[in-house]
Amino acid sequence: MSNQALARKWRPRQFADVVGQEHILKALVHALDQNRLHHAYLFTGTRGVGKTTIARIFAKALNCEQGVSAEPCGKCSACLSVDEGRFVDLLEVDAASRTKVDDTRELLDNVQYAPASGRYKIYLIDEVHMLSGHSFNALLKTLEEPPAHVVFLFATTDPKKLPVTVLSRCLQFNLRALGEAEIAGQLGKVLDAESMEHDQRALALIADSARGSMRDALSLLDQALAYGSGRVVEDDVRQMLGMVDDAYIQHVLDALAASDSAALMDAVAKMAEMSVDFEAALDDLIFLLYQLAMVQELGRYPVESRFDRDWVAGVAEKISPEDVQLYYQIAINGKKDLPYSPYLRTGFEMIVLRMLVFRPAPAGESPEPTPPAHGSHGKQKQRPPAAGEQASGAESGAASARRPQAEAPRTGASTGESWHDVVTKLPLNGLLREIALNAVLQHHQAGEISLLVEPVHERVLNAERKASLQQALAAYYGEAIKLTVDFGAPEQETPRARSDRIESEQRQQLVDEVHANPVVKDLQQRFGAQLDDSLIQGKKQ
Amino acid sequence: MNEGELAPWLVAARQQLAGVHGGFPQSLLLVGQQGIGKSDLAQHLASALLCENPAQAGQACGQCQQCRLFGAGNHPDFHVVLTEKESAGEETRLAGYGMRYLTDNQRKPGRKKRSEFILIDQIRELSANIVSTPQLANKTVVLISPADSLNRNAANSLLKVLEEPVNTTYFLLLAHRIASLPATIRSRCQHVHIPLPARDQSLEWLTGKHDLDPQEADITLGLAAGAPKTALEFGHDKLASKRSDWLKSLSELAQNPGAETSVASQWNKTGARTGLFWLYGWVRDLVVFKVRRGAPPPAARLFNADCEARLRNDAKRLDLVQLMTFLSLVEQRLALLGRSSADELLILEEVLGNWSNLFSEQR
Repeated sequence: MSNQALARKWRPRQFADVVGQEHILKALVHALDQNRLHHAYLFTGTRGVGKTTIARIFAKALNCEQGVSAEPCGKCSACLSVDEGRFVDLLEVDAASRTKVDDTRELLDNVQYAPASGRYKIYLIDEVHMLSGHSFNALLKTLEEPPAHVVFLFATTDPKKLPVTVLSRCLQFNLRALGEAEIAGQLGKVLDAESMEHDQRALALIADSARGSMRDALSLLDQALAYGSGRVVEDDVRQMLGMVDDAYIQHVLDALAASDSAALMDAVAKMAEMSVDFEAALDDLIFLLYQLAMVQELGRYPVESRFDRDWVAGVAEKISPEDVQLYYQIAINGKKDLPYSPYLRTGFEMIVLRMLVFRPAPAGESPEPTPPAHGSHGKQKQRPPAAGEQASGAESGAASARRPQAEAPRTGASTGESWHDVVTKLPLNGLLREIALNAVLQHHQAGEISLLVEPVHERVLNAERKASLQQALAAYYGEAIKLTVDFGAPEQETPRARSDRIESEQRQQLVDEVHANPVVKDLQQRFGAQLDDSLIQGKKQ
Repeated sequence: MNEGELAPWLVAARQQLAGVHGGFPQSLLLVGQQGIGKSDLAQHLASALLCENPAQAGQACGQCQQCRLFGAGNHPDFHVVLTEKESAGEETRLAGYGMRYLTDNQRKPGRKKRSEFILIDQIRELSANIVSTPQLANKTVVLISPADSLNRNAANSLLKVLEEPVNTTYFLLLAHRIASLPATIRSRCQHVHIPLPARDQSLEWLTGKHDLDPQEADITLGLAAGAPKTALEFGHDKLASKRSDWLKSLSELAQNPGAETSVASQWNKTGARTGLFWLYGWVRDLVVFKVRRGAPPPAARLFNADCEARLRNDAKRLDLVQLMTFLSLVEQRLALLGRSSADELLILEEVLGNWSNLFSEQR
């Protein structure tokens, strides 16, 4: 019950059969006819546009027993064996599985020997972008000056992965993606030849889904033939492609226009029942939103589209242009996230719900039960620790500004040293040091130390860290220390706030100095020079 | 293997494939949500391909030497490439086949970190093996599952053999999601999409075939987002106690700001992925409740339909925008889980810490 795929069965055997790619064929045909051959060719382009095919025909043209020409006879033993994939002098290498430099070396070992039966020895290296860096480098010398009987043909979908040293040694031909008409035409030809029933609309749908690749189109055609048991008709093809019936997308947009979340979820559920491809549905939604924006801007959609004109005009009036822009943006962002979503259905549903929720709701029909004020408050609190840190930093900054000459921090009772001095001398690092810097000494008496730490640090100051802080303090004072920690906003200046304040004071002093400098003043007066305060920097001591 | 073993929704897909016009395709890509039974179907198809006298509908006879070898997990012409994790994980028939394509080192029991990708060496060995004629049957069947986990090198090295296989070779590729495959692979295969079975059909299968309690079947199916095989797995897995523990830990996080480290290590023991999947479903349900002001439409298909009262209550305490932001975080972290060298415990701690913060205003 073997069934050779159509893409294999209908692989062109002659340049004349290749669809599209005229720009390349012309160059190759002229080169062959006038015998102006290069020794290395690189064919690039997206999947299924004919890279390997053209390379094989080229190999055939070079080795045909009737002589080098753009029209290999297709009858001699060389042509036939190339077609059957058993020509000894055509070495087709799968670079993606033979990536290692040893494989490449092995290949190059045989370059020097003359071809066994043909005119040229041809190395067709497919998927060449997967070769390792060493493999590419091993190729360079041979690729630049191969023996006269050797021709290299490279094919890849991803030429950006090739080193420039390889690119510069090859003639590069970039195959373009095929147009829908070209694909549909070829599909029609294939089906006629296979005498299968088909209609043009179905072929157009397949050609559209193939996105520029002939092999994709032929694989889809195989699938469509299987699905419709030998017939290719529009309805079958539509179903097979999991194509979103336009009605569903229209339901979604209608529900959005009416801010009706129940209808929205209903529409998604219906789509899931029909096992619609949600990624394609999102693409359709994006396209429709784009079309709405065009209608709103220009008054009409400039070209034919599959969505009903009157319906589009109706929706364009119901949804404000700002909302269309917002939906479009959410949809585009959602497209990025959808692949991460564990379930496509839920992912799609969340994208459309986001459109409802994130819309600045006009009073009265808020889709969100919570008042907007609450929402914005919520946003601010999204990362409480960070927000807290910033807030407390700002507060202490403001506090220090109010009292530039801060009263001396309370000193440790027994030593007379300030907590600031103690902290800088303690052998702490990382997080613990940061906590200590953000703490205030409450009292220190007879081996008991009590600290007040900002509440944002409560989570990170676990028992383990507390113990090591206690140990460090004990080692510093040379006596057993009992450490107690309270959490709350410190009223006095913490060492961290103190050093911040000192730094900002020093900076202000420096800025004042620069402003007072007679040279600067002179420059300002004579040339209208302006000082950019933010660039003033003290010299590091 | 007989028809009885195949779930009803897969029978439909198999019949469609058996009746394919012009013969069975050489490169077939089966696409469908995880836990829907793709590998069951693939094994059926493979055994039918290898069988000496398959029935009319493309079914294996179950009697011939090929079928008996296949059933015993010993058929030399059935080539299965799985990730290291799956091959060396649970001992199933498929995993036994998959062992063939592991290196000696990978076969050792008790390796700590098992790869979740299919690697290039596996594909290289496969390509070397399948160019020769089949050993016993008249066909060679290759099963790659899941094709989503082919890494970049492996996927590329598969291209040439996949495009022009030997006439007797058949490729069956399974994928949870088509978008995760490179376009070059997609373009070389015929695709068959297996839709999610209708809810009633799944429920009937779970209760009738596998003796799940109807109420439990309902819950597990919700949790598994409708995928019956996943639901069955949950059902066999002492779900009730596991789930109540899980629900308890959720409320603990809501009340207690420092609880995330202990809960995270607990989840990490029982399965980080399941915990996060459930959390994803839970948050999604909360969003639905929030948007619908506590009255979800039946079409919404809740993940946790059994906890409506609690969801409604929780939804009142939470902010919608925050919930949605949190949901995308869970989504992204789920994608990260197992796909990278990221530490599962750290991921859990981060997500749960964020979850706990959502409740900070009430405390």
